[in-house]
Amino acid sequence: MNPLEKQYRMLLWLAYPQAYLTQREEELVSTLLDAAKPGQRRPSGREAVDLVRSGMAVRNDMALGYLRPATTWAATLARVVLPALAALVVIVHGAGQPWTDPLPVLFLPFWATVALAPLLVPLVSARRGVASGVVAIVFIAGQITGANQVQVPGLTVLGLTILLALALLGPLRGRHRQLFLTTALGAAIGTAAGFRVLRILASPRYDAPRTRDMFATRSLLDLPESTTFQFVVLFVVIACVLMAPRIGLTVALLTPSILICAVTLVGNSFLFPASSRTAQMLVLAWIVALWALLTLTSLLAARRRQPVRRLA
Amino acid sequence: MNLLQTSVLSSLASGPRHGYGIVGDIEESTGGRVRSPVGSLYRILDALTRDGLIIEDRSEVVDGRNRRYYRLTPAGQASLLEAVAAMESVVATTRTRLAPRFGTATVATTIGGAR
Repeated sequence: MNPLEKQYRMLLWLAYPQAYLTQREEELVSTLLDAAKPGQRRPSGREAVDLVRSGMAVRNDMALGYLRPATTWAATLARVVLPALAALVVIVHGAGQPWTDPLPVLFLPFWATVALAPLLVPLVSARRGVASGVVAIVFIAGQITGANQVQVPGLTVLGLTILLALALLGPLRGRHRQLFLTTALGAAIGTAAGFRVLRILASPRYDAPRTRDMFATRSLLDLPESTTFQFVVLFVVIACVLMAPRIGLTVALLTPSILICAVTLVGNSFLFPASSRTAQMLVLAWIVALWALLTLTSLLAARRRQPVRRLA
Repeated sequence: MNLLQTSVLSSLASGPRHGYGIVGDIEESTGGRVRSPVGSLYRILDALTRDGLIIEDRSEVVDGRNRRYYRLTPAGQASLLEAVAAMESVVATTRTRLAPRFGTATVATTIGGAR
């Protein structure tokens, strides 16, 4: 195998899904080598970009094609209904108490979505599962740190990195990889959530406001270390963008997200005081908007989705 | 149907071709004006196969390279004809609109004058 062929295969392996390569790799490599200029030693930039773009498009097609319409509907509905239910629970629960801050109610549907999304991983593509798992873990880590001053995020981020590296670079493929990720993420989230509940139960000052705190995001809003908050926001935005069903939408969402993140990250040191409510409100409002947009688009996409189609 | 898709169908109109055969034919017949990068080419081949416009003809191994040939289906021929008619009307309109500015001779050789 000459170096050029090796590099083409590497590119294909990175860009295209395994199932597609099983059918098409030899043919693609042959055509690429035939089309290479005499003496060419490495893929040109244009070729590489085109291959990566095409590979991503195939991945997208296959991820959507794997799902049967009924399953897609179930998964999408679950993403809408579960957060709504969770929000209802908190509203009913908090109805008797004066709310000093209305934001947690708004924010909760999103929180519930990302926390529950890993449960739906078998119904959704692996990439989305990973993204939502990442968010859920970081969120829970943020909650724990914010409320109890436990230094968990460092460990969580480290564990998560190892987990992702194992899943993406390890020998697992296809369904096995998905199963591994689901189990691992489920275990991590379960541990984190259990830890949180234990903390609250063990606390001597366990009272009504703390119960509310267990569900809502007061701790997240009032985080003393605003950097943790910024990282959480960053992860959420990245995950939202990864979960977007279309490339165009991804770009459209990514640009303002990066801008807002940059403004808050930089702004916290220059423009706003560290505890600026306005900056945090802005970010939270954008996240809620992102969530609503994604739910809406995936709902629309689910309606248009085709039944399973075999590739060539 | 876009230009690249039409070009792929057009190159199969003269008989079955493999991936590189299509790339080479498109580049040659359009004087290098239309180029098809390999990744995009296979996206188009997948889509056309899915829509039943082309079909796999045969596979050959030449010099250790795996070549799969594709050919047009009757449906593919029909939609190629339709696409070309649409393009021709665009070309004709454009030619008459640009003629006053550039002169009839220039317009005729520039538009649709690839061959």
